[in-house]
Amino acid sequence: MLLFSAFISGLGLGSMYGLLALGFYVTYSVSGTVNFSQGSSMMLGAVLCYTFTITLGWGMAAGIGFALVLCALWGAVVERLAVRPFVRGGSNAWLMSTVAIGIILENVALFWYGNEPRGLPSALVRDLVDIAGLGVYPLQLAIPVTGLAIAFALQFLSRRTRHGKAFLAVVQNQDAARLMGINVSRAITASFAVSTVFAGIAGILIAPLFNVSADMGTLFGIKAFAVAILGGITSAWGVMVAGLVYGLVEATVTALLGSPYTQIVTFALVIVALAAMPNGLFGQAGVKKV
Amino acid sequence: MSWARPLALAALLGGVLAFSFVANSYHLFVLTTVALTAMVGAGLNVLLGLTGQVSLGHVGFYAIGAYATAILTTTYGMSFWPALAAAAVLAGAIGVVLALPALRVSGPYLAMVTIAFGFIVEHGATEWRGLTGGANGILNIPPPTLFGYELGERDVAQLAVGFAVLLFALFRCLERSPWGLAMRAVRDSEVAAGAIGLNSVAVRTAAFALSAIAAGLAGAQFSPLTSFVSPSSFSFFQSVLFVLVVIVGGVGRVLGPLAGAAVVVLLPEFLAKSAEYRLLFFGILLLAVLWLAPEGIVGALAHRFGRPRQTAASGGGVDVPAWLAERATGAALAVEGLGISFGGLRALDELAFAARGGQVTSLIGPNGAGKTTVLNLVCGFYRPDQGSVRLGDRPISRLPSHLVARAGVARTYQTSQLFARMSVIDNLLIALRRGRLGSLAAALVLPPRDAELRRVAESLLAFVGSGGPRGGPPRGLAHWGKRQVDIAPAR
Repeated sequence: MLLFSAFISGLGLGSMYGLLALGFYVTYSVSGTVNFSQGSSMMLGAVLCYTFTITLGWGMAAGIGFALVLCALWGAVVERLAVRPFVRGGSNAWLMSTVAIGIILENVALFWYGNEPRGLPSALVRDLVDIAGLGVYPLQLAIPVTGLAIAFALQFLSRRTRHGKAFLAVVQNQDAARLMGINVSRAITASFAVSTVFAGIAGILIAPLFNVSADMGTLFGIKAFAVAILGGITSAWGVMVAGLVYGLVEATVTALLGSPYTQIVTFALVIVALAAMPNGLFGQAGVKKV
Repeated sequence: MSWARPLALAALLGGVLAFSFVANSYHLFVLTTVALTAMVGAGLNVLLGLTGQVSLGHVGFYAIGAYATAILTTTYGMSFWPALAAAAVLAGAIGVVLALPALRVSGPYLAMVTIAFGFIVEHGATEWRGLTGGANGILNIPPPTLFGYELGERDVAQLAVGFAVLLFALFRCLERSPWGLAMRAVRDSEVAAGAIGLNSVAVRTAAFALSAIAAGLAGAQFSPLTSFVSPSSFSFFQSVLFVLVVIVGGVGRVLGPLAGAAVVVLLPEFLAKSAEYRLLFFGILLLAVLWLAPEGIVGALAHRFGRPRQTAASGGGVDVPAWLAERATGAALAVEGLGISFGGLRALDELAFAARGGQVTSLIGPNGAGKTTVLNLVCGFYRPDQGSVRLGDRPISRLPSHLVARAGVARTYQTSQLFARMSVIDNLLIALRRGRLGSLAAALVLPPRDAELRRVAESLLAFVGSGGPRGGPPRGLAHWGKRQVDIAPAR
């Protein structure tokens, strides 16, 4: 029973790690960079949703919609300010600049929103549903379903729509894509916007369960990054599966050993996994050409 | 005026020491913090500045150093000085162990491993109550004693300053040594570094271990500073701050970490606002430095006031054909039955040829025939599916590229793979060493004895017809000629 409850919560958290990690995958595959402020983007989605629905009293749909639009805009801002200036010359400076912009966002949110966590009420956490003798909130089931649905949608859209195919073209060969008339820098900006929207969705989904606070994103973002790395940041499905595995392992460790050991064991496993498979569980080392 | 800089530095040191005699308790605390932060920065400068690898978990080594001295001096009653040594050794050992998984990967992957390490140390310190006192930490850490004299705050501060000066001196020595050149070569082009005989994993592991030892030494002096350690001093954000110190000061600059530490520790003091603004300030500072002054404070100053070391071409004076003839082994390169597939494409099949020493052998073929693939296979960049490559009697087909290079094979590339951020002369100096770097310990303390090598390098450059300035970075196709030099089978 304990393990089953761990299974449900692990699945939920894991799919959210996976969703954030999909954001890492999207930007990395298009541009070779990651948005290290992904965790704060998640917090942004939750905080904005709270502001629109609770503070301003808008309806859920409007609140969520506007929150995600602003998340997308933030993603574009991050790309323009913290990534694009540093990608030329092959430097790694975008790593630290996205860390910096994440710190800035988190602290601005702290000043504006305050540092007490606040709950976000939701119809999906009002009544428990009985699953095999265990009381579960409908939201806890909705979360993994939503996460997987988004992963599916990403796969489908990238293969079936024109914009999706353009995105795949940029992933495979930036120069050829440019020659085919695809606006590569717009594709990169769009990829950052998409990744922050994913993070925002994840933040909004878990907010009713975990409360909204300015620092809810940092550790989450770091774990999601571990998930992206483990999944092999070049594979969308790998990243999603890695997220689920990570969530399940984390929940199991918490159930069996207690929460103080969760971070230690899971991070140690991350190091061991990377030592064994430097390209992640599903990634492949590309063939280098010199 | 080569005495201006050392004089200014001596004056600075004198001023700091004089200050320590009149400073009050709080100022001494701040001074010590600057010195310790600068020490971690100096170590991280080896990893980030020379080798180009970002670590976001160095607070872990700092914590290990701090807890090591705290535990050894309280629970085991050890004297401070052996505890200090033990802390440095422990941090270095853990650094080497962590380097094994960390350096099979690079870039964001390495950042992840180091982040994970930092969290494990922080949470481990909180949970391992028996050893570390858990979240409450360790109290009443005794001050260090020297021949019965108990070190006060001023002595601790001066000790920290002394160690910081030592680390800067070691960094400066390392930077100019073959190991320093090797680290920068691995940073600029790992592929080309392998092709000149450098084992990039060994080089990066050395850099990682050195940075870990520096952080451990600094952390070891942190515990007597306040007589108290607890996990709350060793958060992930502190690791970010350490990297900030290096970036703000100037990546790869000897005194960069000093400037960076001064800014990171002192500026919040002057702003005097509440601690909440501190984090926001650092985020903005990091972004601002990356945008506006990516060379950091010391780098910007060097551009403004420094004079580039533009040594003109000097001819060298070594008889190049004779020098080359000395090194010719006459060994033949023999390729037999060589084959490789990439996925479903059979790129090479049953290739055989021999290239005899002292002759020019040409491999010709149309586009896509596989000529570059042959070169890559011979040099160990790819592994053949079938067949063998021998240099003389020695099979080299399954060796990694740096060992193939040390066996005597050298190559150029279709697109120039120069070490773009190193000077022309440094490019040659590291290539001429063919992977032999000497001992790491010597690199830290002894000046490089490379006068002979420099003359050879100058002669090779003149022989090839490259007449531009030597002290600057390679630019333009004219320096392509420089690459020809690496073909010379140096031994």
